[in-house]
Amino acid sequence: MYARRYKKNLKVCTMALVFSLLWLPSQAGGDTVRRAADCYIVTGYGVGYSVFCDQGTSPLVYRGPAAAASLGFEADWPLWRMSVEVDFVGGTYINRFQKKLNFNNIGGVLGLNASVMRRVSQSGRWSFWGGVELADFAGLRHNPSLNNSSTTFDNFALLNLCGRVEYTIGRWRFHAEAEVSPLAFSFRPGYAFIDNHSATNEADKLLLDNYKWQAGAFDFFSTDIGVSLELKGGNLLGLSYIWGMLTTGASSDNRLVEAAHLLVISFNFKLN
Amino acid sequence: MRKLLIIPFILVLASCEKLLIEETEYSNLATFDYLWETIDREYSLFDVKNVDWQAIHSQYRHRADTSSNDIELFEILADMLNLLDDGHVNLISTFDVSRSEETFLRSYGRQNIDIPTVALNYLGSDYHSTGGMAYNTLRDGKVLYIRYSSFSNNISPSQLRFIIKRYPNAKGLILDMRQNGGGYINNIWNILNVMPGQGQLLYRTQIKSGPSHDDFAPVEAVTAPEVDNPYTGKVVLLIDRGSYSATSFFALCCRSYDNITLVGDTTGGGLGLPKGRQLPNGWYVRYSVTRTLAPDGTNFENGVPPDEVVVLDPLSTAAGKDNVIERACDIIEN
Repeated sequence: MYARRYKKNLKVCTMALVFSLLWLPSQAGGDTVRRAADCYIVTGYGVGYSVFCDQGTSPLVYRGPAAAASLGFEADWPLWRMSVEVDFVGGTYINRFQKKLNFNNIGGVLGLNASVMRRVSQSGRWSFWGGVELADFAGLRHNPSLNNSSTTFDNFALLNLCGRVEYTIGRWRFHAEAEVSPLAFSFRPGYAFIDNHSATNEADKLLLDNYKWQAGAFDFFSTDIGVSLELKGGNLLGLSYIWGMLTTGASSDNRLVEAAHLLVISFNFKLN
Repeated sequence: MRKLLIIPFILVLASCEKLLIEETEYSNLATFDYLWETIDREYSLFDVKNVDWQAIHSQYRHRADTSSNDIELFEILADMLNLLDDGHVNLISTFDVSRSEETFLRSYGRQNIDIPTVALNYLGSDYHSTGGMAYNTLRDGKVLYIRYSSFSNNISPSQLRFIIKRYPNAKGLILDMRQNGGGYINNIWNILNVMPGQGQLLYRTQIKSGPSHDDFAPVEAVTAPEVDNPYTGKVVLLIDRGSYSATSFFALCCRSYDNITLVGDTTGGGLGLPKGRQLPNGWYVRYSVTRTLAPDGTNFENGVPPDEVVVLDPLSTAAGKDNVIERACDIIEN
């Protein structure tokens, strides 16, 4: 019942945020002239490290190498920017206690997100953007050593607020962006790992019954600082440091904190 | 210049994962507290174990705190867990794995089988092996004898059907699961998919769902699979105290089949499905998180009783006979 109520609230909040953005005062009247959008295929490849703590499985914090890839579509107008993107971040978590037992987890998070941003201010080379994003992150993790061999999954459905600052000088564009989720729904198990040894339809059902939706706030944070260079034909080559974190917050029983620090190279191919 | 303040703001935001991730204290006391609380909140069988877990806390905490090395700490924590007398409760470190001593003694101290006698005089040197089942016929081909020593050996319904069809003159079959310590639960359903199930209730099961000892999720009813062309001959299941975990589940299921008779000794139990966690010092703990009830509500966690108790007779073994198998043959022939 609570999940249904929060889903309804999510819809209302989304609509309110989108409409409020539509009415934000434009600081650059000349840009209100209608213009065809610049459209891009957006790709990104990143490497870095991840930090992982799933208290339903272990109280220990694990760090390990991570890699990421993304593919999306972006349409830019002078006042508006819309994008749809699929991201994947994968990482392995290597036992910090080398003298202890193996905990060589491997996992990945698949994200699907759609965002709308509006330029809310411009001053010289500076421009300021604000917007909303709907995102869904589905995570799957496998631990070959815990409970014979174990697998778990979770899902986060998020409404994010985004803010972005850009500084353009010639063909170079520097940017800093932040996202937070004021409203989030996480689907997490009461018991984090299913023991594959006893995994039958009946056991899975018992364990999956313990998965539950939980409403919360600030389950997702992300920052992105970088620079992009406009190449011939309007294509963009970029380099960013991206940090992203998913968490169920500090108080939940089986608390999850999963963060990735990534250096990402992006290629945006202009379509028109 | 004020606009550049956004950059330190973002860097501060990026470091907030440190606020949410607490590096767990690695001490004897932290390990003890985490272990005790985990069992207190998630272990599912306190009601049948008759253990005062609160009293155990004060009894063992100081000992754990003052233990001088990993081996000593391991022994203290293992002693504490052994009070649960549950074969699915283990403490696992790089240098040792604890086990319920009571379960161990029950399994091996009351073996109701003499393996060499079975191997030499019942399976024989001309036995066959399909899908982890060793088999041969007894009493001039009238009884099919199948030895299934571990549920970790996968058997498919088609393999079991093949074994049965190979001996069309057999009036019935013996499934010998004495000292079968369990394994993959899937194999229970693979065997039952050959038996004459009609959707009858086999057992009910519940998973622990909250911190109190009696917090359980709603009951799940487990019923027999309805099978086309099932095997309708007599089946005798042989069990003993070493028949544990998946084998106990199988024995519990067999109680609901009219053509199956359980013969031998009570099983070792182990009807709670296990789950595990890592401890602050890197060791693992495994423990039961479900409970399983017979259709009449009985919790056979400490063992599923046979329909007919037959204890292995040393005199019989000395004569090269297994009186448990002989009794099973009599049941099938009569």
